[in-house]
Amino acid sequence: MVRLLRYGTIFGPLKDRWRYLYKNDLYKRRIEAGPEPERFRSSLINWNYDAELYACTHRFGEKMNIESLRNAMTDASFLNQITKQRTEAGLAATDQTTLSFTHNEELAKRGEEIAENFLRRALQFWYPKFPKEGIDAVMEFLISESTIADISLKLGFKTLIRCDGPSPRPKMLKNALFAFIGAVDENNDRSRAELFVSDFILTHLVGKDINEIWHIKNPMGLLTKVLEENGRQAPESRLIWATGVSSVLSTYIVGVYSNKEFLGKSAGATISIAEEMAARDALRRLFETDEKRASIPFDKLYKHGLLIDK
Amino acid sequence: MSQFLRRIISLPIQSIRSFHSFDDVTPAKYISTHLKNGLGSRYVCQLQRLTIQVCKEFRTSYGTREWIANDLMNFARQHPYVVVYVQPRRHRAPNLIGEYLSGDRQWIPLSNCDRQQINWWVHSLLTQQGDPQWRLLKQMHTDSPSIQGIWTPFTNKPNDLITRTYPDKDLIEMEYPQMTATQQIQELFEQQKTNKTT
Repeated sequence: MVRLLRYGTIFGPLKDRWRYLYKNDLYKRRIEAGPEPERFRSSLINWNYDAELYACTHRFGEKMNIESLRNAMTDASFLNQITKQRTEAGLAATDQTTLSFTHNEELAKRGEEIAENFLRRALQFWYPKFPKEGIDAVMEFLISESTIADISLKLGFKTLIRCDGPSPRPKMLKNALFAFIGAVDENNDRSRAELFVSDFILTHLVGKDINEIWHIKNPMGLLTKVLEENGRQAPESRLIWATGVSSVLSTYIVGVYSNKEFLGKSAGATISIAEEMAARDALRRLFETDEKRASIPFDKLYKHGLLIDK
Repeated sequence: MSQFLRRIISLPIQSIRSFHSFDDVTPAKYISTHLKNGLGSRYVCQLQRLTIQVCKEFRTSYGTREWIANDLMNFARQHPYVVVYVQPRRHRAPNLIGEYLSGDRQWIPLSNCDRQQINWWVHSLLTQQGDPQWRLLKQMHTDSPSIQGIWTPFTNKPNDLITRTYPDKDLIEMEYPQMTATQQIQELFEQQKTNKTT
């Protein structure tokens, strides 16, 4: 039973010419047949959906009813498919209403509301001087389908979602994650759902610069506007240093001042680039979102009243 | 060479239990975790399901059978977030297959392993995040290597060089330390002398 000879060596089964040709032909036929079609994970023999759902509740430490989790993981397309199958089988419309579960659209809406509300509060608390458009841009990035689908994929919802295809589409992944948050809110309380949002969605900002997420097209114009609102003088840019002016690697360092008061400085290959970057630097300093600033303390948000400590 | 051979005779991807050949070009990356695991208030175990394929008769799966009889219930109770499947397969080698949250899959052959070794392998799968085919470029990594920013010739350079009138007296005079090393030693020597006399 135990294979003692190595496969594919002169001691192994490929030493005979006919066997080599046979294997080669098999290999070519396999290549011709193409890749295997994608299959549902549930079609494999080692699959117990109830056990998977039970494990899912324990994975995130949430105490919740299995039935509500089952509803949260059921996509609308799955329900459509089932009703379609039933009509094809000749069942009446009255029998179709007796399904014991619903789809997750409502829960997803509820979860999305919670997530949006909490994320906005957290960002406004931690970056109080950051303007509203900037926070909107960061929110859009965090709530976007690609981000949420990526998070949902990494949390292992891919195999748990019940939908019409073997691999759920990004929309379904997004709905499933928000529905899970909604189910947490339904079974436990609001604070637990918000903790989930802060643990898995807000942490997506780590290692990312929120100034880059909010792309400012005309930084100098915005800087003038912000200074005007604060009742300060218009910004003036001054050349501080320059080296290699006539060479390829020229560097200019430009500073931005308002009424001889330093706002920010930056380097650039040309004077216009350096000026623009200096304006960006000044904005960063004004909004208090520079790299030197401490990151969001994800484990201590309750200390600041954003989360209720349990 | 081994890669060339593997291309001719198509073998499956090697398990992490097998010998790693340094001739192979393995994909490399910096050390990282999925979704910054553990950064929030909780840690999420990345192992989603564990499949133990075992034979009831053969000697090769003796240790596996023993582990299932003695340790499996305890393991399942301690780690409720892992779904454990046991697949009895007649007259074949025992295997351990771990599936992870990120969709990765780990396969470990357990032939002739005893109970303790199987416990080791199970916990090895439990504590990893499921991508051992990656070679780490470094043992540590940070996204922000310097808070102060990269040093340039212009950092900490005084700005008032432009406003001075040249020739400037401060710039012409060479700066010497207040006291040279020889003078310092002489002073120390004299101090010792005075200490001895008192």
